[in-house]
Amino acid sequence: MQTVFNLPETVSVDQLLEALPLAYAEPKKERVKRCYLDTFDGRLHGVDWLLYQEGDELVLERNGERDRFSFSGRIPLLAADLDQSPAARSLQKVIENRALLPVLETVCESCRWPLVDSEQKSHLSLEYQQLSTPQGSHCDRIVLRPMRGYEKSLRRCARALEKMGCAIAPSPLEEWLFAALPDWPKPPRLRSDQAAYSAFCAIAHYQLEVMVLNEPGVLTAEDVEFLHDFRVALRRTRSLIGQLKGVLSAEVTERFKADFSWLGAQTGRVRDLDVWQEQLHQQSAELPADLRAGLEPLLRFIQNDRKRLKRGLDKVIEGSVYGDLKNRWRTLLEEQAETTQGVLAGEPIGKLAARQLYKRIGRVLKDGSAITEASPDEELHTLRIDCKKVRYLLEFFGSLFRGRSMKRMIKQLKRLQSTLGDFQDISTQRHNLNDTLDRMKRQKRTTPECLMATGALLSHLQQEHDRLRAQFFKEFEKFSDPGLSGAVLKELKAQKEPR
Amino acid sequence: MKSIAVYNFKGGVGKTAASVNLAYEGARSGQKTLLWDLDPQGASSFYFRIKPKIKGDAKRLLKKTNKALDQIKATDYENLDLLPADLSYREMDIVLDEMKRSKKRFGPLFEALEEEGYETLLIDCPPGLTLVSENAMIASDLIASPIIPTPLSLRAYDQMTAHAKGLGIKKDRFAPFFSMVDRRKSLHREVVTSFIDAHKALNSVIPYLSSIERMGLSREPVAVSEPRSGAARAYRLLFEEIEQLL
Ligand SMILES: Nc1ncnc2c1ncn2[C@@H]1O[C@H](COP(=O)(O)OP(=O)(O)O)[C@@H](O)[C@H]1O
Ligand SMILES: [Mg+2]
Repeated sequence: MQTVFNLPETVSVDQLLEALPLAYAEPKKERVKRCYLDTFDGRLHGVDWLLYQEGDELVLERNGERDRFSFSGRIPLLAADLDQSPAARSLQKVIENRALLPVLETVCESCRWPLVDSEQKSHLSLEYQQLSTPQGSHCDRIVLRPMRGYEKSLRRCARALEKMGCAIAPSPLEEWLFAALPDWPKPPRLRSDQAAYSAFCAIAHYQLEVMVLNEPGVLTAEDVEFLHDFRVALRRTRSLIGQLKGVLSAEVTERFKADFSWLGAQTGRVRDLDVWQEQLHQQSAELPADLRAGLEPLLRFIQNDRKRLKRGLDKVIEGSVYGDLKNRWRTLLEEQAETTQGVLAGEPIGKLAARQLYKRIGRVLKDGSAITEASPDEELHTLRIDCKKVRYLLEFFGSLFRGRSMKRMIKQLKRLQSTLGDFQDISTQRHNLNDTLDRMKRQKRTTPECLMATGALLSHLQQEHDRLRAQFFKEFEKFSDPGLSGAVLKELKAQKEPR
Repeated sequence: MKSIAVYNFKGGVGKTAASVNLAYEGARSGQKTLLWDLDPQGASSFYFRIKPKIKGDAKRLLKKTNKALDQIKATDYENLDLLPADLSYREMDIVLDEMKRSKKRFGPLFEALEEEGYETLLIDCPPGLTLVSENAMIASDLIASPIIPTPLSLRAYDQMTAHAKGLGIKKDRFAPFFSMVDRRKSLHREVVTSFIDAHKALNSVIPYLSSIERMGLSREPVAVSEPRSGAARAYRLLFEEIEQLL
């Protein structure tokens, strides 16, 4: 492992070389350009990994170890562009669906002297590095590169450098990279006694910022997560407006409810297809090889659908209707004019949130226990929406409730919700598949192989449907365990009706 | 890990010259390579400017493999490390003689080297028919044997392979090649052509070249000191041919 030192301003590299216990030989000069990559949400930064492109190689640095893989030449880079080496696989696990985008370019000009003994044999080398970015960051440093079997010489040289005032220095890269990553808005911190209106505006403003941050990526579509994150923020906004009725005036509530519902409809279809494509990809891998090719016409058809819908989506995002909606919403949230306030605007948010959560959890417990083996699928879908409302409330206001049973309930809720979500996906997929096949048939785009393959898919979906329905009952039993829900409801009751 | 012992019981035939240059070629082709300078005279170490160890302990080296790993030194060339000669190697024969299974003592060290990530091992063997050279021959995948093309040298080579046969080393593990060949001598020319055909010797031949002699002054592999020389080319071709056999 190399050792990196800073270069004190008062010392020159020549002086350092003279101070070493070994002689130095002819130096080698080099200039290396690197392009550091990370996902839009900084996942590699989050796990302390560095990934850069250098020439025709990608280099991954983890805990001082370096792995290299060949670089396809394409940036942004998706998991599918990486090879199957163990290092590339662990990288795939971290980035998942996210594209690797260029974050920072650096140029390193270096001059490297072999440090040699009386026989002119080198024991290690000293490198003077001038690191810079096109944005004007700059750092000079001294690197000692060890060679096997010459540990003693390394220690002697390191001591000589320290005597000259050099200190072991952290790399400036982490800092530069962090500064170059997109600035994510921070979720607001709420207080229990905060007025509901101000808490509402803080949460909604945060969601709006997340939407705006993701807009460019929705348009360029480097990966599908931009649209996903955009839509999550949008759904949270809608849920907030719907669930905190009375905080905004009735008129304002109605208007923005309608506006955001429109935006939801405009952006939903593309996202549906993204999800479906991903699912089809996985499912086709599980199909017998001879059926797999049959899916090709379907996949192409969906791809075309998506292209068409994406053009519509781009028009919406760049269009004036959405632009105007954003402006009006932002103005409302920032000006907080009295005329926009509703009857509950002054209520403490803690109390209001507790009341709403109490109501919503009660609803999940009631609706859920009413579901039996004989209930139609619709009842599970309704319960999913009930759960989602609770989930959003917990995301907004969870920090206001600290009880341990609350944490356990959140965990159970997540599991229940994920089962219900998967169950819903099955219905959506079945619907999508039947609808798309109808359209393909009308346009004479189906082939016998395609019908065979989709037949196999449908029967796979039926199996999943039955499995998930059975699983639901197990998950719901755990969630509705009276010991757990009783404690949570008690905590909420105490907060919504303070003595 | 592929292991190649460079061995001929005659001295002065070009074993060290071949070891140094073949090891360099291995490293240059991208394989992590180690050259073990097994000759107490330390000629290979000298070519890489690495000082031989004076106060070694041949016994501990054979018994404790991490002792050997600690002595490995990086050369000035990428991918190429050297296990330097040790004056105590002079006693290695006696040490081996006192050990059980005295002809098969290199196994554990080879395993440790493989674990260290070495892909190619070259051994510059000392001359003579000793337990040391027998161990090297038995443990290695291939025995690259330089021969000077004279009838007497060929006779010696036959004696050597016959002896090896007694140790259970089949003849196909030998890769003989001609060394210090003087193309102007008709004797050399005749011996080379007839022997290569008859004994499945390597086609690559190392001619007698002053650039190889000059290595003693430059203390660098010929491919470094004289990259475009015929000598550099000859060792590269020799390495490629040996690699085919592994
Ligand atoms: N092909 C060659 N052409 C000219 N000189 C050579 C050649 N090979 C070896 N020599 C010289 O011959 C001497 C002995 O060679 P060396 O490789 O040390 O033999 P060994 O290791 O078999 O004792 C050295 O001085 C070396 O420089
Ligand atoms: Mg020798």
